[in-house]
Amino acid sequence: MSPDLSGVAAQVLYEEARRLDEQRFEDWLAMYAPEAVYWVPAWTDEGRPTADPETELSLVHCTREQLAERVARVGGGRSQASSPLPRTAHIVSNVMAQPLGADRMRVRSVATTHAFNIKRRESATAFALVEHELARAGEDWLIVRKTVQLQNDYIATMMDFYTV
Amino acid sequence: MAAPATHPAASLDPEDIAALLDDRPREGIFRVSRDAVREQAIFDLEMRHIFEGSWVFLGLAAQIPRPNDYFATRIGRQPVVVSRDAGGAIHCFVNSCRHRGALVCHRNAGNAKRHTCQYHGWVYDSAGRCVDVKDEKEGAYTDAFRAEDHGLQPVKLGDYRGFLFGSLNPDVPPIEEHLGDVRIMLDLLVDQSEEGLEVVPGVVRYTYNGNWKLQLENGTDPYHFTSTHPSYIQILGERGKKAAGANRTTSIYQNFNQKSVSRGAFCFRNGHAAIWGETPSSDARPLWSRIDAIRARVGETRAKWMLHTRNLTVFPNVQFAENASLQMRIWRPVAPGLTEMTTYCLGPRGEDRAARATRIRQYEEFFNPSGLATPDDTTAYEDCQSGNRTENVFDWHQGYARGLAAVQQGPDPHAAELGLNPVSSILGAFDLGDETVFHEVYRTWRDMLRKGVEKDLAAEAKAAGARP
Repeated sequence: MSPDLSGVAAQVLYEEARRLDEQRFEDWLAMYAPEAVYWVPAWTDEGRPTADPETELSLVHCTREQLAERVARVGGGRSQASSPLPRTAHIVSNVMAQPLGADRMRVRSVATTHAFNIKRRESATAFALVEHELARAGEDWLIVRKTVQLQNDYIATMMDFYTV
Repeated sequence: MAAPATHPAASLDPEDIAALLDDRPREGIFRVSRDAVREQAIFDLEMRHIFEGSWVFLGLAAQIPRPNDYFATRIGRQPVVVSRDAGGAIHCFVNSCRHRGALVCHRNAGNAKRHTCQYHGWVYDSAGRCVDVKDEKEGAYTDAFRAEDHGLQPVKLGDYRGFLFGSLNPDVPPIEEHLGDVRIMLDLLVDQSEEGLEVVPGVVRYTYNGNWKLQLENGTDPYHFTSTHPSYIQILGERGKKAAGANRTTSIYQNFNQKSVSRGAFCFRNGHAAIWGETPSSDARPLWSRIDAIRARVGETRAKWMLHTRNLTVFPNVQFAENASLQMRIWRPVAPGLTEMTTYCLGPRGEDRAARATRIRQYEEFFNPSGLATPDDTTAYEDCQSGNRTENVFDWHQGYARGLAAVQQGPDPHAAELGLNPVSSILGAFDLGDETVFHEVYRTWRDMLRKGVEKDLAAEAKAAGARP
């Protein structure tokens, strides 16, 4: 673990969370590299998270192109699950970064996301162990991989990229 | 073991139950009361007489392939365990220690030769037999105690080609009779591979704040597709435009054209139902790479049906939806307005890696509560539950009328070619959006509740007559 790098990584993760909470989803998407993979594994009945998305089920397994489809769906007004959009608060903590060479790093964090369903007047909480892989792009860092291990995978009605 | 003669749920009489449906086929009327989805008294009767009074689906034998594999589930409100014993035979027993009733199995699934109650330490084997009463010798038990069977209470198990069903009521017809022609629809799933079906590792559980029958209906409801899922249809359309340049097919709905696609439906006896349709883009089906071998093995007709989209409800608690992928969705009613879903992706054994990956990706984006379609369904169920709140607003739901002027009794030629003999059949353009497919579901539901109430009332009258 590198404290300086962890500080840099935390700023990237906070920024990502902020863009989600402010529903700036296009700006959120811009933090992802073209080759990015976004993955939320499912759990097995035996109690382990799935490990191989090609042979095992995931909750979400998306390329950046498919994330862009989700962003368009949420903003398009044609999905009743996304309208009205829940208000969220993403809390990111326990940020620990490991360098992977000079221009890459692996970042582990813990995320708690509160989502308020406006129509039902109910709040739900998702908590997850998260791993980002970040790659330097000039002055910025881009997300090349995000894995969200959802610890409470008993989903209240629906989940999407903005509720975890 | 005698059942108690009285129970708390008989607040409705048989006439109340009959009044939940306005079923006048000769006049072209079929309507369902709003009470069906909101009343606690009806929910209690559903638990007692449907979910705990007849066959319910438990899971697949493929979930427990090895000796001593088990999974835990519920029948109605009661936790049960489905376990393969050391010799390979499958059992279902009540997940409740005979000593004080504690759960003996605490995980969703696993492999265990023994299940030990963590409270007083009684031990059961994978066939449900009690193999140790802790400190039995020192316990000063009577002969009467020793004469009792201490094994976990067995639950009647039905196994049709690896589809496992259980009934807390032992007085039910054989599972083959309960399923009837639905067996032919299940065969279309199993026979996609010589080795049968398997469960893709990974389970997705979710809840929605709505009645279980909203999910039951949605699974065979073609009418909602265009109005509930426009955001998904739009995504598929955009992908289609991109893929047209690259000359590849990405989804079975890519060439989705409402005018050219026909949709059919069958009502079966005992509340089972199915809808089907020709697949707009068969070459996007994971099955397509092996279709020649399948045709040679099962024949042209059944191979064609394997490529059709098929959504099958096995009453009362499971659907097999085969379109972009194959989903097994099991529901458990928790309250009139709360339902728990347990969902799995299925596939034929021996599927090649590329086809399996396609199957899984299509499954996730269509069926998952984190996908592009299901959240819009479950949100709609919740809107239904919210709109059906009070008995002071009463009218009949008008959503069971589509298709009534076109439905035919018995099999149509499509049913006949598959050897099906349904109660009714219908075929029409995609926009028909048939709703007659729900009619036998609700007739079965009403009849099971009514017979259950009549039986309870007769038992109560008998008990009252026997009292001095």
